Amino acid sequence: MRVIIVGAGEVGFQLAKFLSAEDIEVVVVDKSKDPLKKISDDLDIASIEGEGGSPSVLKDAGADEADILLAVTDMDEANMISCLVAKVMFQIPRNVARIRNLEYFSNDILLKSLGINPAISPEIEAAKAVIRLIEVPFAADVEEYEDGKVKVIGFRIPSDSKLIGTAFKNLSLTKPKVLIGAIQRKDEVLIPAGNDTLKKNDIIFLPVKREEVDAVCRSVGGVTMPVKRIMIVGGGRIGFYVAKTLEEENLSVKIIEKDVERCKFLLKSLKKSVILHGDGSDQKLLEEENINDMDVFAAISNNEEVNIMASMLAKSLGAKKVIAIVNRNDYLPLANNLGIEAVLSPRLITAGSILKYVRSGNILSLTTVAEGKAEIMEAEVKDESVLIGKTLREVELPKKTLIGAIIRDNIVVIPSGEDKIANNDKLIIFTLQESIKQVQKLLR
Amino acid sequence: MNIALVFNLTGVVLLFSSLFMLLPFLASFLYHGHDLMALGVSFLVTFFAGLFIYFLTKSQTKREIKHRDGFAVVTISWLAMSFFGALPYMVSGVCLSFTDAYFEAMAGFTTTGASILNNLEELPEGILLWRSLTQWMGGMGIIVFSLAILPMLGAGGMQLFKAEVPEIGVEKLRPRIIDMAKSLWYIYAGLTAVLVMLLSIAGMDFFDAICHAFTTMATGGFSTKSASVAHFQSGLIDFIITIFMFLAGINFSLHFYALRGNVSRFAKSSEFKFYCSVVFISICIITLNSMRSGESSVTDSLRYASFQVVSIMTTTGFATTDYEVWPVLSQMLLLCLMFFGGMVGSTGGGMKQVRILLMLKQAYRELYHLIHPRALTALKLDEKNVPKETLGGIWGFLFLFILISVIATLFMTALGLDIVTSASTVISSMANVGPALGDAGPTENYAALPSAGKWVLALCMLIGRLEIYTVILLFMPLFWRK
Repeated sequence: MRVIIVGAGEVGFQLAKFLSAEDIEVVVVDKSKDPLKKISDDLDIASIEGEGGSPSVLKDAGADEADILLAVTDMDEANMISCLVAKVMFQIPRNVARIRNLEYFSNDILLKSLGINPAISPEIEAAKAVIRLIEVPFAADVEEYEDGKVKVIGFRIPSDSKLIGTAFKNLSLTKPKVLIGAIQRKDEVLIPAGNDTLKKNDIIFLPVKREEVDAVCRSVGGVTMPVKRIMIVGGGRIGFYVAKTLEEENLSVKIIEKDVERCKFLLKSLKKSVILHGDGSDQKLLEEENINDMDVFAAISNNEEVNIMASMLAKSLGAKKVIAIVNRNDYLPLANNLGIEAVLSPRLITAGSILKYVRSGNILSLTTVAEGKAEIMEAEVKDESVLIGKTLREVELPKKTLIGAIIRDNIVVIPSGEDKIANNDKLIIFTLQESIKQVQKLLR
Repeated sequence: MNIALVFNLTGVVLLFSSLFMLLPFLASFLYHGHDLMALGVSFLVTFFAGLFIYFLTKSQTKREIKHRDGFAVVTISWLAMSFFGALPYMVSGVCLSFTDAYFEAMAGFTTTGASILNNLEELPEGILLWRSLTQWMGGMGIIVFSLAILPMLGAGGMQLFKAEVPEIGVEKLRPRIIDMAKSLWYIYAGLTAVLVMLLSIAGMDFFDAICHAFTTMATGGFSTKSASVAHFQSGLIDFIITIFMFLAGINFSLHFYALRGNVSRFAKSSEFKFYCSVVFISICIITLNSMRSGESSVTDSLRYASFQVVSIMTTTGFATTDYEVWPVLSQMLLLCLMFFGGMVGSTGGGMKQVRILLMLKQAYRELYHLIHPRALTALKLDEKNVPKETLGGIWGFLFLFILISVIATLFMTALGLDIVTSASTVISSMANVGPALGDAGPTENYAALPSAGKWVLALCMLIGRLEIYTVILLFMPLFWRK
């Protein structure tokens, strides 16, 4: 399989990194030399210097044999042209474009005639991630599979949790059954074995059925009070989209925005939200607006320094859950150690959402969690797979791999060692990147 | 630097190259050679040494190969390979001293083809095949070979590849390094197979055909006969080998595209055109020069001149005639051609045609600027701009090449050798040619040189084969600083 990535920025880099580690030929096109040099120094890919919309450049990039084109520069128009050329001149079957402008984004006819399928908006992806996080209290990360029937939820273990020190094999005794798919501990990600125990500040990733989210939250020691009051810092595109969605769910939303003109726009476009003009890291303003009563505080402005400061302030003033958006990858580990419940990187999220469309073989989707260090794969078991008819105990999985959920005829099972795998089952598999190829082999 | 990882990978390379020893072992078995034991023992020692190093250093978890690790892995692997590659010569008693055995092995792997062995006809087949095989392994680069076969080197393979193959002018034929390495080896092995067939048809013994095909495609130059290719006294064989040396000196990516039906790439490559012109002009000069001296006929002059020009320029080093009896102009020209070498991305050594071409273009540009002081110019190669850093790299390369050659020559003269021998052996080693002038000309060999001289030349061969920077880096204190 060959994938062409147009744009060697952060999103392009992340995509190239994931794809090149698998059995995929990656060619990256960018018009400037420096990012290309960096990317081809670090990764096993081919790079071509030139405009992503130029037919001759795309031809050099091997567009004749390409299966997918991912246009992820930060220019909408450039991405659109790349997809158009790819569709019209090279008949590439799938062209994914990063589109920021909502006017383009929501115009299906335009996108279709440009051959874009699908368009990904970084802001909307980030906003959706924020909303998913708000809906599950206490979560550090939420990913959805099969239209949300299965969620993988990341929980940060609080320092007073009664789970600390418990061996994993005993966790399954709780009701409902809890299975840990992956653990993020400092910079490392572990796929757990039965005798491992939890430590303070670990983030655990659990596969959970939709109906059991609350119950599972309770059993790992989380607060399950329904979320009612939300404060948002930053009324930009992400903030606006989040507020609008939450409003429709009848939640009480306050937005703090420092630009007066933007405030006026928000006032006009939102119905019930309280629009506050001010600075998100202004302690007095936060106190005046009863920060300690807020269920969720989301610092999602364009300025990551402000987001981090505001989050820490809100945490110390008593906000129950704090979410922050951080763009620079260098800041992610730092922000994760500050006690902020959830830290999001729009670029990683965008790369993640695009990855879902790069399907090879029977992998239906691929999500990365824990700053891209662990992968969650949704995959279908096909006719000749060696897995069929075996119980999970009998199956010999590659190292650091774990089956987190089995979906059969639309029914989700969180499995134990006795469950059997059947033909056409969909599996949610937790793994590390190095084992993906071996997992793929097993499914075939 | 991650020393454990470096040795771990070196272990892998050793394991891999040990498997090649089975081929001469088989040959020795078939011919009932007395070197059977020696080859078996060498195989076992190399295999278990590789295995031991591999498992000793396996425990460490970080598998990421950085820049610096890449340089270290490549240089150390080549040193280690030559060490273990010397075992068959030592154990079988073909070489009496370790210096000689190591020199012979290094001359093999670096495709230099400078030999210290006399009376090749008396050597057992196993040893002869091993000599040729070392050149074949080294021709395309053992690391590139490992990359093609061993997926375990996969992810960090890029760093290794870059340390073994210079970046300049080499394009990535396939997006993934493993696919590219495979393509290169398919072409390499394919051409070798064709050559074996042609040589057999032309009347060469099958064993000799294999050995000569190995060393021709690698532009190595080891022969199974003391008189080199001259032994066969066949115009047809000379012709076939000339053509294949010429092919081996061409950038393999051009072969790659040609096989995919895109032959026009040859015409578009200015390096290829330059390469052809140099060959053509040199052949003309030497033919005319030796005709004027009145020794031989037109056809003979042309035959020997073209063989020798291609052989020396692609840094193969076969001989069909004693060029030391040629006029001085011809000899000097051959010495100059050693610098040129093959095209970039070929198996040939030397400075590489593209470097010379770019330096010529740059020199022209300097003159142009003197005439048009305010003119804007760009240095282009095949319609593409050449970045300043590349050019800087070439000047640095040239300077180091000359500097190292001068120092090594001074060292050789200090050992009491004459100027012609000193300078020509050093240049011949740096460029991986093989035969030189003076005491190490095409009819003599390197056996008579003093031991210290052999070590210096062996080092020169490695420096030349890995294109200077990779090896020199390891001698920089900066490289080892944390």
